[in-house]
Order: sequence, then structure tokens, then C-alpha cells
Amino acid sequence: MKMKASVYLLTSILFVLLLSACGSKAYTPQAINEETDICVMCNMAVKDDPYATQIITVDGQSLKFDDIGCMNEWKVENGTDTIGAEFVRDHHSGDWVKYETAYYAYHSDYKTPMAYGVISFSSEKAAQAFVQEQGKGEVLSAEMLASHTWEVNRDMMNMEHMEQHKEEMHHTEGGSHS
Amino acid sequence: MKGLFKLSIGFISITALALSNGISVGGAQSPINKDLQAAIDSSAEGEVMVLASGEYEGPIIINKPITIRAEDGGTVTLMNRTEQAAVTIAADRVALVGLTIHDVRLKEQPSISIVKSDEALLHKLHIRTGSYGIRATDSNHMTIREALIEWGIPEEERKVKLSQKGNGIDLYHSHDNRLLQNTILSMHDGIYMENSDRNVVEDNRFERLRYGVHCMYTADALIRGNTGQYNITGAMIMAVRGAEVSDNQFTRQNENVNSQGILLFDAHDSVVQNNEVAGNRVGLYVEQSTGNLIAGNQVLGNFIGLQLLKAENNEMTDNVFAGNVVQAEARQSTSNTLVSNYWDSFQGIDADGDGQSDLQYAISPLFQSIVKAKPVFQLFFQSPSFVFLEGLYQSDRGSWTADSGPLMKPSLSRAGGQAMQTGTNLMTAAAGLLLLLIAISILLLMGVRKP
Repeated sequence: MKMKASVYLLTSILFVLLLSACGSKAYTPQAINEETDICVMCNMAVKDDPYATQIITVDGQSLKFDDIGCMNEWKVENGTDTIGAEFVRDHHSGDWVKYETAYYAYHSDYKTPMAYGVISFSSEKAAQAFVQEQGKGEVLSAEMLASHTWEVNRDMMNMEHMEQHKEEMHHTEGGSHS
Repeated sequence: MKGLFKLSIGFISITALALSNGISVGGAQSPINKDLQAAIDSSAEGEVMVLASGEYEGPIIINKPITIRAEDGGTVTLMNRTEQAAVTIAADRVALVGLTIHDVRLKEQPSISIVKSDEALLHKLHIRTGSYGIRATDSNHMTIREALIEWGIPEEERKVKLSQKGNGIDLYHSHDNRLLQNTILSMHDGIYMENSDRNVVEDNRFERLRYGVHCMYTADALIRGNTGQYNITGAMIMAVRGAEVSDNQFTRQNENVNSQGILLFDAHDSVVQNNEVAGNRVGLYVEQSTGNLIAGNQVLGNFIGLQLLKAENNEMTDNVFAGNVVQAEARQSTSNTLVSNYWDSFQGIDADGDGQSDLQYAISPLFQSIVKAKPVFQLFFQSPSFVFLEGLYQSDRGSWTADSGPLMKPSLSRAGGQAMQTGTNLMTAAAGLLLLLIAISILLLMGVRKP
């Protein structure tokens, strides 16, 4: 009888250890599966391209987005309490980079899947080089991105605003669009 | 010049488009790229070049208003083995008629590239591409009709991911174009329109694509009379205002876990009318959309007929929801006006005989809310326990999306619904009769105890 109790105790200790091991594990981004992944916000298929971003929630759920702007929308709507980690991808290598350590290039003419015009890079240098190469745009750090206005290059809800915007809009080679 | 190459020159006015007098270039087996480009370069504005049957080598660049057409009944193939666009149109009023364009490489540049050129006419083209079919930027008042655009790299030769393919017809910042009676197969999106207004997409056929029609940031698009099958989504209507989506037929979009017949997202003040969405995973999907009229649609035999998510102030009327596993799901959707729709699984009571049920048809938000929090619970779709739970769940029922006067019968104006209804009734009658006959014969043959 005593034997059995100690077995139970041991098992439960092991189980608790196992759980805590899970808890302390670093959040790792999942690979994009183009067949099944859709953006949590806008429902579009998420391409396995550098525009894709990802949130891993504290309970380990992976939320994928086709554009960093959609990820921002999600945070506005749901808050940041449930977020374990946020990932973006380097525009050149496609490697996952932590949102906080990445650098960003923004211009309303840059083409991104949902037209937010924000592109991510693993280093500040790469972001600067991209802006230079495009001849327009600005480099933002993650902190600066927090105060970014997240305008899409054309807002269908507010058409008046859009009409003004239209004049400045000219097609440019800012990455490929979907 | 090679012997087989013959060149006869004649000028023709635009008004007399009689074919016989044009410049005719080419010969049965003379793939002479240089010469086609040279003929274009030496042509006069407004000229009509008629190409003799045969194979020509691309790429070509057209920078003046001319017409290039295949001879009547002939097959003119423009081969392109380069990374460039097979045809670049860089002038207004260029017309291409009856050509076959075969782009053999997997590449970035589209098969036909149209940049800052208005009033192009592309008629009866057959495009086999390893990239985009036709990509137009800053180009207005074009007409693209009766084209067949298909992915040109055989799967056994090179299997590519869906995202490596280009769109069939891709418009960027291009307005007032007409895309009519085209067939687009196995590409990425069939017709993609971004920042492009007042385009007409009519009577096209879309198969085995990612999205049949895909709008992003467009105003006043007219999408009418198109058909789509086996795409991930038939019509992806995103970030639009003032669109009309009518008389389309999107069936069997059900192979992908995210398939829909028609999806509206961030769509405002648009009309979705008289479409047939049948046999899809989700028939009509409406999210974050306001001020739309959704009327007279046939939503038949989908897994989920209607999904409303954060949709507000839309009007839904005269739609028929029949034979769907789940008729409708709605979450966080308020101030929508639903009236006079027909929901075949709903049992209403019509005491005053006005054809509308006196009981409202309320749409439970339970399943959608739970799946939103825990996607794996989709496994319980229509499981008996879940249906039971849904029956119990009544919380905050006042704020649910509800049809205030659901129809007792599908509206008579919709012939399709009627036909289906009679069909089912006949089948039921036949089955009943058969069962009765079997029962009687069993009784007669075996049921009487013999003394």
C-alpha cells in the first residue's frame, strides 16, 4: 500500500517537472504551411514569404498573419497579455526574427500583402540599405513602430481620405505583391 | 532573309479592318524573332499586321498603336524562352488578336506586360505561362475578352507551390477595364485587382485557382455572371466599396480547409445579389463588412451556409439557405437586418398566413465563439453533443443575429430553389411508395399465419 502511494507521488512529481519544463521552454515559431494557414485577421492565405508574421501565445497556440499590419490589428483588438512571443521575418533570408529586435522599413508605396507598407529586417543596416535602394521610406525600430499609425495605402472605410491619397500613389517596385 | 520568310506590305486604315490587306509576316517554320520585332518597328501607327501560321520567337515590345493578329483560322504561336515578358505593351490602342503565347520558363515577368498604356484590346488569346498571364499597371480602358489563360509548366516537369504561380489577369492601379468571357485555369488568383476602380469582370470561368476573383482596395467593381469551381475561394471581395457581385455561380469550393464560395471582408456599401453558392465549405462568408445588400442568393448544400463575423448594418433578404449542414453562424454581428430569407431546417409558425414565420430564426454564436478561442474544437462540428449544447445555450439571445420574418417557403421568384424543392418532394414520394409496396408484399407473403 505504502509502495503504491510513493509510486503515485513519484509520478506526479515527474509530471509537474515535465509541465514546468514545458513552461520554461522558449517560444519557437512554426513553419508556414501554405496549404492550410490563413491570416487570423484578414482570412487571406499566408504565403511562405518574408511578409508573414507570427504570434505564439502563452499557451503555445500559433497565430499567423500575412502582413505585419494584421498582427498589429490583432494586438489592438486582443491586447498583449496572451502573447508569449512575436516573430517577423528578415526580408532577404526569410529567417524568423523576434519582433522586438527586428528593424523595419516603411513607406506607403511599399507593396505588402495587405498594403500596410511595413517590411521587416534582422538588422538596422539591412533596413537602411533597403530604404536607400528604394529611394524612399524610413527605418523604424520596434519601439518606433509602437507609435506608427498603421495606415493602409487606401482606406475603404474612409473614402474622403482616400481620394486625397490617390494623387500621391504611383506604382513602384517595392517588392512583390500577392 | 531566309527563303521561307515572306513579307508583303500593305497599309490599311483602322476603319477597314478587313484582314486580307494587312502586313503579313512569317512562314510555316521560320522562328525569326528579330524579324517580328523588326516588322513591328518598321510598321506605321494604326497598321494591322496579320501573322501567317507558325511559330515566332519572343519577346516583343510594342511601342506604337498597331494591331497584331493571327491569320484567319491559323495558329500563330509566340514562344518566349527568356526571363522577359513575352509581349510588352508600351503604347495606347494596341490590339492583339488570336495569338497563342507560350512562356516556357518559371519567372517573375508576366507573359503580357502592359504599363501606362490605355485602350489595349486583347482578344481570343491563348496564354500558357510560367508566371503571370497578363499584368497591367497604370493602364485604363482596356478590353480583355475570350482569353484562355493557364499554367504552362506541366506538373510532372516541375511541381511548383501555389504561391510561385502568378495571377491570370493582374490589375494594379488600372481603372475602367473590361474583362469578359475569359477562362482561367490552374493559376494563382484568376483575376486580381488592387487599387483599381470601376472594372467590369463578366462571364469569366475560374477553375483550380487560389481565388477566382480577388479584389483588394477597389471601388465600384462589377463582378457579374462568372462561374467558379474547385478554387480555394470563388470570390475574395476584400477592402472594397460600391462593388456589385451578382449572378455568379461558385460551386464546389471545398477541397481546402479554408474554402468559401464568396467571401466579403472589409466590404462596404456593396451589393451581393442572385448568386448561386453551392457545395462549398462555407457558402457566404461576411466579416467586418458594413452597409451591404445581400439578396436573392441561392446558398445550397454547403457545410456552412452563412458565416457572419463582426458584420454590421447589412441587409439580407430573399436568400435561400437549403441543404447546408449548418445554415448559419454569426458572432459579434449586430444591427444587421435579416428578413424574408428561407432557412430549410427552420420550423416556423405562420399564424397570420403572410408567408413569414411569426417566430424569428436566431443564429447561435456558440460554435463560432468556441472555435475562435480553441480552433481544435472544430473537430466537434455537428457532433451530437455540440448540437445538444447549442440547443441549451441561450445566453444574451436578444443580441444574436436573427431573421425577424423567415419565409415558410423559398421565395417563388427564385426558380432554382423551386426546382430543387419539387425534385426533393418527388424523390420522397417515390421512396415512400416503394417502402409501402415492400411492406405490403412482406405482409402478404409472410405475415399471415397459416393454420
